[in-house]
Amino acid sequence: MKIKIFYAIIYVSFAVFIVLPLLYLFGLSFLSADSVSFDTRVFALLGKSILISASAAFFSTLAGVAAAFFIYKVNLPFSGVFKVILLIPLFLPPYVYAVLFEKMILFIGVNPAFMRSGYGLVIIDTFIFMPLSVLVTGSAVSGIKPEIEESALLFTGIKNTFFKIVLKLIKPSLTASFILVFIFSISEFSVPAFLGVKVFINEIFVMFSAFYEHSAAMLHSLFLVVLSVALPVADKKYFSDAPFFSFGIRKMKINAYGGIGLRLIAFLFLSGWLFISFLLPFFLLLRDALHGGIGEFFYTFKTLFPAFLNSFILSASGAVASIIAGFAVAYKTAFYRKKDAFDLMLLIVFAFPSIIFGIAFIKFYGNIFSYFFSGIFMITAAFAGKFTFIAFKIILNSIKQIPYSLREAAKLSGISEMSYIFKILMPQIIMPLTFAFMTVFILNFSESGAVMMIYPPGTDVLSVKVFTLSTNASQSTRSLLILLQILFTAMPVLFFYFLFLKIKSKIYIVNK
Amino acid sequence: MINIKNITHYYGKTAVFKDFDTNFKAETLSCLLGSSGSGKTTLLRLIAGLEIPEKGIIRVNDIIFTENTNLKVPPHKRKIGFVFQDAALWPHFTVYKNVAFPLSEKKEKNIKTKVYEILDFFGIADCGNKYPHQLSGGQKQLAAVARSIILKPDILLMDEPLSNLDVKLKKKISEYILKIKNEFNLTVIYVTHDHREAFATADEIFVLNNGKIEDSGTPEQIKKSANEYVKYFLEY
Repeated sequence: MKIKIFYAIIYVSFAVFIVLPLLYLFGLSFLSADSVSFDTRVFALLGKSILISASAAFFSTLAGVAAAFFIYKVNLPFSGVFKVILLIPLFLPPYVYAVLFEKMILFIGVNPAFMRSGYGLVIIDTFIFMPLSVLVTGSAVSGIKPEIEESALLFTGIKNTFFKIVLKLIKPSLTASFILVFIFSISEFSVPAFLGVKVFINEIFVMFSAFYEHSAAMLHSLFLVVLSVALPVADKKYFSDAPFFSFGIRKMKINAYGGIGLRLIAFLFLSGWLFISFLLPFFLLLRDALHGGIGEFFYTFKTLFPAFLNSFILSASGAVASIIAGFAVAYKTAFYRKKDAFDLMLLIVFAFPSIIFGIAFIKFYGNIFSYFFSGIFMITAAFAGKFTFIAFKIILNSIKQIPYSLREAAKLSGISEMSYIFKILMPQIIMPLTFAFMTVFILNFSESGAVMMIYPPGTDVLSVKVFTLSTNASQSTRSLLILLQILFTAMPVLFFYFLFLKIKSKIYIVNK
Repeated sequence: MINIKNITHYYGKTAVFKDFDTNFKAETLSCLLGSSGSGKTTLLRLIAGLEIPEKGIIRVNDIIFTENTNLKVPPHKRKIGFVFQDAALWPHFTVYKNVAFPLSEKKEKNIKTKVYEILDFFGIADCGNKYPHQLSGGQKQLAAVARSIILKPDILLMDEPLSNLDVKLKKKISEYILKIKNEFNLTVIYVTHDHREAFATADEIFVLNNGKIEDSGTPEQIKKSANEYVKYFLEY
C-alpha cells in the first residue's frame, strides 16, 4: 500500500507540475491560432535550421562512430584518457564552445565571417555533439561480441569487417545518434545567438522575449516541438532500451585490431580531434583570460561566485527530484515489467526544446500556479522534467543487472518491499545512482535554454549570467568569464568524482 | 604441420603460456583436452592470429604465421576455419549470407551453387533463408561449421563446438566433423573439456593443464597414461 501511495505522488506530481504546463502551451497556441499570421520567411528559417542541424547530426555521427570504434575496439594506449577528454563538451554549456572556437578561428587566420555563418554553426555543433554520438554508438560498438568480429576477420580484412559487420550491426544506434544530435542541435539557442546566425529557435526567442508576441512564439514553437518529439518517438523501440545511458560501458578490445597501421590511424584521429576541439582552443582561452592579470581573475571569480552557489543549489535540487522520480519509474519497469505510458511521457518531455519548455513554464506558472512562479520550485520542476529520462535510463540499466532471484529470495524470507529497496537493492546500485545524480546535476548546471526563461528574478544563475555578460564583453573579459565557467563546472565535477571514489572504496571494503 | 615454438602469452599479469612448445600433425584430428583456464582456447586463438603472443613463433608448413608480437600473416590469409563455442553467426545475415560472406566470387549463381552444396552436405539446405535466431542449437553449429569450411581451409580450429548440445546432436555433429576432416583432408584442432568427446573423435589427444601439456598420444595411449593429472582428469 505504502509503495502505491509513493507512486501516486510521483506520477501525479510529474503530470501536474511538468506535463500540464506543456499541454497548457498547446492549448493556448490553438486558442490564439486565428490571431497569428504565418510569415513565409519564418518557414524558410525552419528549413535552414533543419539543414544545419541535419548536417551537424550527420558529421558528428560520422566522427562519433569512428572515435567509438577506435576507443572501444582498438588496442590503443591512453584510450581511457581519450574517452574522458572527448566527453568534456557534453558537460559545458554549448556557448562556451562557440567562444573557444571563435578564438581558434581568429588564431589560425580564417575569416571570422565564415565562423559566423551556417557553415560555422555546423562545425561548432559537430564538435559540441560529437561526444553524444560517441556515447550512443560506443555502447553499441562495445556490445558486439568479439567472436562476431573475429569470425569475420578470419575471412576478410579490417575494412570489410568494419563496414559489413560492425556498421550494419550498430545501424539502430547510428539512427539514434543522428536523431539525438539533430534534436539537441535544432533546439540549441545559445550558440547561434552568440554567432549571430539566424535560426528558427532564436526567432521564437526573439518573438517571445523581445517583441512580446507570445501567441506567435507559442504557435511557431509547435513546429519545432512536433519535429523534436516525433523523431525519437518514431524510433521509440531503440530509445526505450537506450543502452547508451549506462553506468560503465565495457571495452571489448579485439587483439587482431592491434596492427600498427590501425593503431596509428586511431591515435592520430583521436589526438587530432582533441587538439582541435579542446587543447588548442583552451590554451588560447587561457592566454586571453589571464591577460588582465591575477587581480582581475579574482575580482571576476568573486563576482560570479554567488551565481555559482545558486546554480549549485538549483542543479542539486533538480537532480534529487530526477533521481527520486527516475528510480521510482525504473523500479516499476524492471520488477513489474510494465511498460506504461510514463516511460513514453519521460521521452517526450526530454525531447522538448529547452526554450519552449521555458515558455510553457512561464505561461503556466504565471497564469495558473502563480504561487510557485519565480521560485526555486519552478526551476526544480523544469530540471526534473528535462532530465529525469536520463536518470531513469541509467538506473533502469543498473537495476536490470541485479538478479531477479534476489528479490524473490527476499520475498520468500518475508522482507517487505521497502526493506528490499533500501537494504538490498540500494546498496548494490549505489554507484550507478551516484553516477546518475552526477550526470543529471552537471546537465542541470550547464543548462541555459530553459533556465534563461525561468530563473528566479533577483538571483543569478551561472550559465545565464556568463552568457549574458560575455555576449557584450571585450575579448579578454569574455575569455575570463568562459574560463571561470569551465572552472566552476569542474569544481562540482571533481567534488562528485571524489565522492564517487569514496563510495566505491567503501563498497569495496564491505565486499571484502 | 603446425609448429608452436617457445610461446609466452599473458592475460593481464597472468601467464597463460610460458615458453610453450608443441606440434600438431597435418591431416590429423587433434584434441586439446583440459579443464577451464588450462589455455586450450587461447592456443587456438594464437594459431588463428586472434591473439598476439608476447614471445615465440607459430609456423604452419614452414611459413611463419606469427613471430613474437608480429602477425606475419593476418588472420584472413592463414587459410584457417574457426568454429566458435557459441557459433558466432552474424545475426543480421541469413544462414545463406553467413556462409556466402567469405566467398569473393563475382557471379551470384556460382556463390549460390557453392553455398547450397555445403548446406546440403550438412543437411541444413532448408535453413538458407532463416536468420540465426530462428535456428536450433544444432543447426547453428552446423551453419557455423559450413561457414568455416566454405573456403576449403587447410586447418579447422574448433572451440568446444558441441558443449551446448544434447547427446544426440553431439553424436550427429561429431560424425559430420569426422566426415569433413576426411573429405577435405583437413588438419583439425578440436578443443573440449569432455574426455568422452575426445576419445570418440580424436586421432591424437593433448591434455593441457595450466599452460603445459601433461601428456599426449592416441586415445588408447591417453587412457593408459601414467601421468597423475591425466589419471585424475579422466576419473571425472
